Formats: sequence, structure tokens, C-alpha cells
Amino acid sequence: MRLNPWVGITAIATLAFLYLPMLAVAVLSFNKTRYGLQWSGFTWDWYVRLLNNPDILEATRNTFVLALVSTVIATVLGTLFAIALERYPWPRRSQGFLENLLYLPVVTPDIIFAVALVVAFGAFRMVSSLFEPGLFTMILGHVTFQIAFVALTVRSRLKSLGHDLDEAARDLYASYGYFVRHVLLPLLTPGIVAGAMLAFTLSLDDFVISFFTSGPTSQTLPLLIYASVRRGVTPEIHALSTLIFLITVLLVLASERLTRR
Amino acid sequence: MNRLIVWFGELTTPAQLYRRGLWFLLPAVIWILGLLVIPGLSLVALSFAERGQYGEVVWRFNLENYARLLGYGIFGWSPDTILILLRSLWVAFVTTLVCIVLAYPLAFFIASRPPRTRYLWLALVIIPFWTNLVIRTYAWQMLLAPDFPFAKLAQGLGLLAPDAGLYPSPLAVYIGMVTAFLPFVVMPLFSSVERLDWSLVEAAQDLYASRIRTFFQAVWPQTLPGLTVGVILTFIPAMGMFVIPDLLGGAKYLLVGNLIQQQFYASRDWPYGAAVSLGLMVMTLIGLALYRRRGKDVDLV
Amino acid sequence: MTTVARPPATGESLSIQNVVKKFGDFTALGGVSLEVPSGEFFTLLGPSGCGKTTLLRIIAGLEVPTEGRVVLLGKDITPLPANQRPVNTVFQSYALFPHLSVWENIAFGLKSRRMDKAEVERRVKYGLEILQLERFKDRLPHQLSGGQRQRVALARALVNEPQVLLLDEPMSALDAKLRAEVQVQLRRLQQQLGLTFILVTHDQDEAMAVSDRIALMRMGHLEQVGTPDEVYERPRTRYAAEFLGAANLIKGLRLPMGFEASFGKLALNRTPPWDEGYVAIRPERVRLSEVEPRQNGLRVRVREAVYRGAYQEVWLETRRARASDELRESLSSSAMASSSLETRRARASDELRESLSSSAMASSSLEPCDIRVRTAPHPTFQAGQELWAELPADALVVLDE
Repeated sequence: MRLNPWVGITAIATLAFLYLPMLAVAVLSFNKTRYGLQWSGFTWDWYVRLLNNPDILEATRNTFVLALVSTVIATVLGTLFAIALERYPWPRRSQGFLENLLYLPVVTPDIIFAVALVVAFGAFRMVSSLFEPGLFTMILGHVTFQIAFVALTVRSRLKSLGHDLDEAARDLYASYGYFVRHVLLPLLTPGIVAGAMLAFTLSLDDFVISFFTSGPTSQTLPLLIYASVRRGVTPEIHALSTLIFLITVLLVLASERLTRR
Repeated sequence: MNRLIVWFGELTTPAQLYRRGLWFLLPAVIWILGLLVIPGLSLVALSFAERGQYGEVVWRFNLENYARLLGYGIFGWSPDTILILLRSLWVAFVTTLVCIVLAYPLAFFIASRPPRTRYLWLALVIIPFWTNLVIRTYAWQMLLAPDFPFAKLAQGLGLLAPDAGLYPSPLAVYIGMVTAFLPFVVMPLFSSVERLDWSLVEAAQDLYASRIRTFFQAVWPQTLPGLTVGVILTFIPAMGMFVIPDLLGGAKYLLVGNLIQQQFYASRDWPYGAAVSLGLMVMTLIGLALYRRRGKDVDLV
Repeated sequence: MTTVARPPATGESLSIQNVVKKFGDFTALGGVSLEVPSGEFFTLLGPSGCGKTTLLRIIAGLEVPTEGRVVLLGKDITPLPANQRPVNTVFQSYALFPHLSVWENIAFGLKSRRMDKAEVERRVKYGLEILQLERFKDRLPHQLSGGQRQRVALARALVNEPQVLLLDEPMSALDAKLRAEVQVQLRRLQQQLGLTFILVTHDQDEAMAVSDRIALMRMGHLEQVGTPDEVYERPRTRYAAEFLGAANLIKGLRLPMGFEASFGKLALNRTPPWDEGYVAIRPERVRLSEVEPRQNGLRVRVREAVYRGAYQEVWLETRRARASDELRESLSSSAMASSSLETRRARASDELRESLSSSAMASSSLEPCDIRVRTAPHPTFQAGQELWAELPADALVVLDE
């Protein structure tokens, strides 16, 4: 394929445009001065302080607890949902309703979903104090949008399996349980893992739903960064952002590796 | 219901199948109904209620919130909210357009890389996509700050008052939006470009078509499926975007997302916030419906 | 060598009793009854859509018959699910488990029945042996060739020692050369094990090569059941005559111990049961000579002769007696007036013929060449040459319909 050199130049410039802000933040995270953008020497200080900042450590813990718990729940529910959608002869109308239910969390703008949760949790609080803003309500919110992404990923894997293997297993004396344990689940595992990774990243990445459903004790990293941006950024935040960015890079490269194999 | 069938190799009856299927189905369905559908419906109900004196909700049915959405307030008609709605549409439109223009060279460039390095280049596009939006947005704040080279340059050229930054401003919002959504267009577009039938391009070149003609007649139609996906993935979330205008637009460039957030925080006017949310939802659904119709056209091409 | 449980040699191993299968308005099987004795290699032959695979799936338990019963060794297995039937299947796609090694694939049916570990080892080893798969036992299915995969599918079914082994077009994915080899192996394997095999295929050569008996199917019905030579030599219907190999179909009117065709009268071994109908003769049964034969001789002209190496194919033009031209006319007009059922059947067989046009010997239309002959390659015939053709009475098969 021959390309006009300008295509390449534009492409590289666009990529630079995407990376420039992160590069600036990374450079500033090693800058000695606390205020301003003038370069005044290299330091690791901000990274060291990061590790001693209890707020940041607390937010990191919350972020990962939220992502892990919600991913586990969403993976189980999403996988079951995908199997139910793909492997059961629901009447046409019910199937249509279920399909719409599956796509609803995907197409609803996150801010609408977030304020709807605010309203609903407000009402649920009258029944139970569990629904006070906090990690629990955040988990409820995250799972709701994660389910759809897990179910869609697992479903496409299920579709590619067809029914030959089901029939072969049955022909070879397998009960339903034996078939699920020895054929269906092992074959679905790549799809389930991919769905779980997607759900996990979506949770780490989410700001809007966390923002509306969080409480005073459930600060997560994106919320913490947002709050400090409003208050005035410190080099520690640069350092934190740089670290998060590096972790993202590693995750993306690792998952590319996994899926390319 | 009780007739025997064989379903995926299993001898059973529809009744038995449904009973087991419900166990698979119900957890997720109950979850989504309870935490998305019911909250959504309560949002609808709320939009017909009224704000009390202290920001509490008064359950008295009225259409006032919708009248306000259309601009009718206590001081008569004003275009403010309509302006915000239209501005959100416009920002989404411009963002999508710029993303498309930038996405084509990038998608072609990546597709032209040798297979060994191609996925590395693609990963370069995916990484910003997975980087937290708050981080990417505040990074732009830094870059557009008053004492950073970009602002200095603009100040030097007399485009900007001395000591002023490039943000908050509409320009900053556009920049933030484009960088946020570019990967959404590049990725589906790339998958279309990767499958491109180059014999058509060569045929067009053989027929002495100009570069532009070659592009629009031989390349563009083939990339439409990917482009359509990219457009919907950009346009719809861009309308409801809240972080970017909040951090980069300031009070000067409010979008629907910010208006909604204000109602639930600063103004404590939940019923009105609910009405604005439903307005946004309607715009989203219209966008989806248009996409569906367009999507059918795409299949025909 | 390990012994494989054999079904008792007495009586029918498998009995299909009046099986009907409807999919909505479509009748896939319209009342099929069959008896398959144990140890037989039985083939269901027919074009796609004739119901042969549906019948196989009903035997396997992968489809529920709308009516009728499947009886195995005297026991009605119709209500049993697939996983409780002592029957195993080799699927057309092989349906090997992609995440399991060859060894694990073969062991699947044994492990799922919680068979004793040593017994599993023993049987899998045996399965690997008889299908020469020892070298591949640790490979995954995607690391195997098509032929190897097919052998794994076969081994996976056989180690269960099923009462009946079902094979659903197991060779359709193999290339022609390999297919011929595998046919011989399959036949040998079946004889060695003495198991009942039921094969589904659309390939008449394959059916002839491996089967003890063939059931020719058409539109959900059994057209004819018999040994390969019975079905080939004595086809009962035009459809059977045309589906298995090539045939000359001659239309004519009944005479006592004979019939009258467009080109004259021919003697038969029996009196046709119809007033007007068809008689078939295989191309290789027509004899050509310079001298007039004693019986059933026709003066013919060679329209075309094609040298095929092992044999020679000759198209002969028959001379039409003036009187026979009238006969032909009357025949064709009566054919037009025939019942709509018959025309529908005729259309169906036309379609069939079209679908078979890829096989060179399939078509046998009377126009423009009346008789097609397969004969020794020497002496070669020339177009335009006149000679005698003999249609021996014992080679002329009176078709029932």
C-alpha cells in the first residue's frame, strides 16, 4: 500500500496531539518546584510523598476494591445472562425485550444513569441505610453498566460455538452438568476473561457514576484527582496520574498480548 | 409446553427449559430492572414534581419543568436552556466531524504498517482511550495554562490577553472532546480499512481518477460501516459529556451535562434536573434512531 | 486384541417403525420403517433434503420424531435422551472438543460415564491403536489434518462400544483421493469389529463401496432398500435407476412378455405391470455387434463415441420406425395429460437431475441420443457408423414407476 507522505505526517501529528498532555504531566511530576510550570530540576520526591499520603493510599484501596468486587459480580451475572439469551428458546417478544434490556446500559448516557441512581438511592434510603452514598452504592452502580459489556463479550463467544459440541457431548453420554463443567465453561473462559478485563477497566475508568454515587468515605482515585484539580493541582497529583497512566499502558499491552495469541 | 423437544442435544420440554433458563436470566434482569429501569422511571416521575423551598421534592404534578426546559421561566421566555441544548448538539457535531477528519489518516497509516508493528501502533491509539478521562482532561488544563508555551504564543500573537490562559474557553472544550473521542472513531474505522478491497482503488486509479475522486468513489463507501459505528460511539456520549466542559469550559461554555449536574448539586432542583436529563435522553434516542436508519443504508451500499 | 461387545447376532439390531418428522409445515420424514440386522453396514443414500440426516439424528436422539418408534435390540429407545442411548455418532463437522487433546477427546464418552480409570486408559489406548493415532494423542484438534480429525471422531465414538455407530457424511470434508482410501478402511474396520454402522451419504459411489445394504431415500420416503447390486441391477423406480449410476430409460407400451418403444418391440422377462411406462438398461449392459443378434436387436447409428481410457462411451441414435413416430406422439400427449402428481414427481426428478449434473454419468435424457453405451475401449467406434445394438432381455429392468 502506497500512501501519500502527508497521510503519515498527519497521523504522527495526531498521535502526538493525543500524547502531548500526558507527556507534559509526566515531565512536571519530576519537577522540583511545587508551584508553576518552570523547570527547576529533577526529583523523585513527589512519588515518595505519594506513597506516604494516606488519602491517596485510601483512594487507591477504594478504587481497587470497587473494581474487583463489581467485576466479580458483573462477570457472574453477565455470563449467566449471555447463556440465558443465547441458549434458551424464549418466545420472540421476550427475546426482544431482553435484547433491549441488554443494550439499555450501553446506550444510556452515563450522566443520566448517574442521576437516576441518585434519585433511586434517595428513595431506597427510606427503606435501608445501606443505600447511604458509599462504596456499596458505587458497586451497585458499576455492576449495572458492567453486566452489559460482559454479557455482550460472552455472547459473541457463545455464538461462535454453535450447537455441534453440545450435541457431541450429549451423544457421548454427558449429563447437562457434566457438559457445562467440561465443555461449555472451559470453552467460554476466554470470553469470560475478556469480558471481566473489560469490566475491570471500565470500573477503573469511570468518573461520572462514581462522582454521583460516592460518599465521604469512598473517595476513589479519579474522584481524588478531580477534587484536587478544583482545589489546585499539586505535583503529587502529576505523579499519581503518571503512575496510573503507566499502569494503563501495561494493562493494554498485556491484554493485546493475550488476545493476539 | 409439555411436548418433548431436543434443544442443543438435550431431551427436554419447553417448560423445563424455561424453568432452568430463568435461573440464568433472573439475576441480571432483576439487577438491571432494579438499578436502571426503576431509577429511570423514578426520574421520569420526578420530572413532573416540584422543587420545594429548601430544595426538597414536592410531589405535585405539573409540567413546569418542561416549560422551563423550553425556556419559559418566571421572567418570561429566555433562550438560555435551549441554547445549552443546541450548544451540546453543536459541540457533539463538531467533535464528531473533527474526529472523522483526523481519524482517516491515522487509520490508513496504521493499516499501512507491516503486520508485526501494526498492533503496536493500534495500541498507541487504544492507550489514551483507556486512560482515565479526568487525568487526560486536567492534563490539557496544564498545557493550556497561561504560562505554558501555547498560551504564551497566543499572547505574543495578540490573540490572547497577557497572562490569560487558553482555558476555560470553547476552544479548550473542543480540544478536550476531540482527544477524548478520537480513539472511538479510529478503532472501528481501522477495522474497516484493514478489510479494504484495494483492487477497487487500483481500478479507480487505472481509470485516471483523481486522488479525491478515487477516495470518494473507491475508498469512502467501503469504510462506511466502520465510520458509522465510530460516529455513534462519538456523537451520543459527546452530547452528555460532563467532565470536559466542567474542567475546560468553565462557566462560559455550559453543556447539558453541566446543567444536569448543577441541578443535583449547587441548585438542588432535582425535578428540573430530571426534566433536563430526559431531554438529553430524548436527543440520544433520536440519534440512535437516525443511526439505525442510516445503518440500514450502509448495509445496502 | 481387546474384545468389543457384540450385539447378539439374532434378530434385528435396530428397528425404525413408521417414523414421521415434521418441521412446522414441512414433512422431513413421511413414515419410514426400516430393519437393520446387527453387524450390518447400512447406508442411507439420497440427495440433500431427502431426510436422511434427520433420520440419523432421530436414531441418535438429537431429534424427536413426530410419530413412530425407534427400537434397539427389542427395547424402545424413543423416549431416551441422546446421552442414555447406546448409540454414538461421527458428526459431519466431527465436532471434536477444541480444548481437549486427542486422548481426552477419545476418553470423553468413557469419563462422562464415570468409568473406571484403568478401563478408560485401556479403551482409549485401543482406540488410538486401531485408528493409528498413537503419535497424535497429545495434540489438539486444530493441530491435526482433516483425515486425522476424522479418525479421532471415529475413535471417540468407537471406544464406547456402541450398539450402533452412526456416521453423518463423515467423508464430505476429505478430498477425493483420501476419501477413497478412508472408505476402504471404514469397511475393513466395520468388518473387523462386527458392529452395526449406519452411514448417511449423498455419494452413490461411497454407498456402493462400503455398504451391505443401501436405503435410497427421496423426499422423506424410502425409495428402495437392498444390497448394492440389487439396487443397482434391479432399480424399482426411475429415480432409483437414475440416482445410482447412469441408466437408459426407454418409454413404451405394454406387450405380453415385452413392450413397444419408439424404435420397435423388445422382449422382456416378464410382462410389465403398467400399460405405459419405463424400462431401464445400464449403459454397460448394451452389447454392440456387426451381426444382427437373435433377440432385441436394433439397427443403430453411432452419433458420438468418446474414448475414456478404461472404457469407451458411445451414444447411439436409434432408427425410428414410421409407425413408432406416431406412437411417440401419442405417448408424449398422454404424458402431458397425466395427473398433476406425476408431473410434480417428474419436476422433482428433473431438479434432482440438475443437481447431479456434476457427475458425468447421471443424465440419461432420450434426446438427442437415444441410447448410451459403455463398452470396451477397443475397437473404437466412429461417428456415423451403423451397427447392431442388443438390449438383452435379462438386462432390461421394468420400472414400477
